[in-house]
Amino acid sequence: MRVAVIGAGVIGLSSALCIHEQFHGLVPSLELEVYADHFTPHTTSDGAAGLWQPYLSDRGNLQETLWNKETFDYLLGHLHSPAAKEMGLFLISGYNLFTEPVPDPSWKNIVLGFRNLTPKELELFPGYSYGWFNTALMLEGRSYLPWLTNRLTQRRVKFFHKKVESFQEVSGDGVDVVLNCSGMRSGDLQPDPELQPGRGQIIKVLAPWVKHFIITHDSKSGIYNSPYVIPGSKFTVLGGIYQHGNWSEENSAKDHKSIWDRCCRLLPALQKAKIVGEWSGLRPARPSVRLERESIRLGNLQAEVIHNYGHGGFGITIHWGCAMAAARLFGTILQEKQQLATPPGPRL
Amino acid sequence: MASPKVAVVGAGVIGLSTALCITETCPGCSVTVLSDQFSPNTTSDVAAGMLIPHTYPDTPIHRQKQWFKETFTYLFAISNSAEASEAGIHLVSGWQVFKSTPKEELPFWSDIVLGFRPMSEAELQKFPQHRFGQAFTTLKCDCPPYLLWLEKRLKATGTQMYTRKVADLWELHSEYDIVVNCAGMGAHQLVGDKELFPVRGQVLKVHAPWVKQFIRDGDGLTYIYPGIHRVTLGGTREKGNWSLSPDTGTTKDIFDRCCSLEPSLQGAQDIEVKVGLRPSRQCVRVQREVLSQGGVKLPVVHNYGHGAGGFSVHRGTANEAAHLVGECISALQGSSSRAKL
Repeated sequence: MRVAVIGAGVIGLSSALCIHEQFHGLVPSLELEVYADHFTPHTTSDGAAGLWQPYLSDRGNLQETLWNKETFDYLLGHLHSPAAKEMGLFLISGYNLFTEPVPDPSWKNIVLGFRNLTPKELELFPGYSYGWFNTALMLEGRSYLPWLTNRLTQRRVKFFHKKVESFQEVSGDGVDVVLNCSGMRSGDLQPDPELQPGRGQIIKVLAPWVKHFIITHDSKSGIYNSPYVIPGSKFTVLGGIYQHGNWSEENSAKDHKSIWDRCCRLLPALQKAKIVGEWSGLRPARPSVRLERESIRLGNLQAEVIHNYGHGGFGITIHWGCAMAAARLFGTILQEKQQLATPPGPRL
Repeated sequence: MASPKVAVVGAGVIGLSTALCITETCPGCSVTVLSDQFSPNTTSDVAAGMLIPHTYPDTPIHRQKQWFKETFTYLFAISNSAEASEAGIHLVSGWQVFKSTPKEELPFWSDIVLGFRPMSEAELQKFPQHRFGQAFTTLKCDCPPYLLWLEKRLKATGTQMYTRKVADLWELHSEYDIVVNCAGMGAHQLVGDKELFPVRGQVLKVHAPWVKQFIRDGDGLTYIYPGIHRVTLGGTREKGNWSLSPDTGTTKDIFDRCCSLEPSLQGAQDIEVKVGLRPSRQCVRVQREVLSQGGVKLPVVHNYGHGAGGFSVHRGTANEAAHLVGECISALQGSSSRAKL
């Protein structure tokens, strides 16, 4: 049984790993292939800071809140494993800042130690009158993606550097199941007007004295359009750009100035920080994640496609929950193809 | 007295901060810092510089709290300014964990650090051998940056600094009007204080930049303090041990204890071992004294014996010592005007 995964960002690689872990033992003929035009460190996931934090509002998608929780719990369970450092996984605490009181987020009981900020803490952030403190996780794409790639390589999963132009291209070749994890470019495979770029730009600086993430919010400008500072293991990410519908992956001088000025106002010590890089990427934004099956017919052949894209600015945050959901859909497909004598039970 | 000449002996965090306070409260003074060691070779350079107070048995708690509060307020303002990175001052959050619930669930400083609260059950799950914990945010003074920043501020006021081993405070009486003794462990020899004793501390400074949180065992023996470039792993508290040589068995023991609190430290690189002698005393000696020899008087202000809590109270004790220097000056001016009559 051949399975083609299109996309090698966090979604593609983790879905591939989850499926291989769960079904390789049950389906000895299982062959997984990953096709992508970009591999780490050139994927969207590599540009993200890697902070686990969902959006403030669940947008009515309770399923997504569950997938976020599954991801957090899965990562927390790996925190003490010897693999944690290699995965780029570590604990980090920090601040979410607001100009007015807001309701608690859906994830307040998922993260550790969630609480409101005290008046003295708010003195650190003039202009902000309300906020949260909590401990969350960082999962740095530039470490996690190579780690996933190594796990997949050990499992003899094959990688192909090519831009897949259509589902038919892989399915016509004798592939039984296609996992569509193509993120921003899913529209090239199948038009989806709901999928739009949420362009982001970030400045990478050396500011090793910053030990907390600081995310500001401005209800008027929307998510990620307000300055944020996220310290990683090698550099600190300064951001605060979210431009819906902007497809440009070129760094903009105007956005650079906006990020720099606003972040330095938030943390004056950043003025002394050395800039070591800049990056723009497109968050694959969608009103909800598309995670569902579709049967694609080409002449006599039928291929099953599992879509898993549209994770916006919370791909890392939600990835494992989605990978497991994709694996469940895969299990259903296997059942239908009578590849399994009994349905797969829940993974212990 | 035109311009009182003040000598500060010692260039660790206590000496430098006291000298700086003196320049601030007595602008007419000429201040000179004399020390056999300067950063990066002082005891302060070995310490992590965490603002978590040590409790001195014989100093009234309200005084310790006042010292801590003044220090915290002073550093909080710097951490929030453009100078934070140069001064080496940064906020750090983390956990203090206890194997058994402490007698005092609320330490005297709980309302001075930020966001102090008990750890949740979910947080404690990360520490299976510990049953109770406290979460809070505090400040860290990284050395050498903080000491170098103090030196820079001092130079800007015209303060001179000289490498010189002072064997006896009387050496200074002809050149200086007032001597401030911030010699730390050196006060044992310098003023013969038998109540001062070393508490040896060995630490490891490692490269582990993914560690963003501090973890401290409430027994004070095991701790992980992330600094700007290195994480300090500790430690030991060996009362009466004067050895400044690193011990390899101790190094392994510290590393193992810290890895059991934070397993990812197994991947730490570039391990540097350091030793410091905490200048310990039942109470910090912040006190005026007038030494007398053959009819000659030498006003002295002592500011030493901070043990494990130097960074936590340094600014508070420096303020108090500077105030005592002011009193010495008034006394000298009073007696010099009397001498003119």
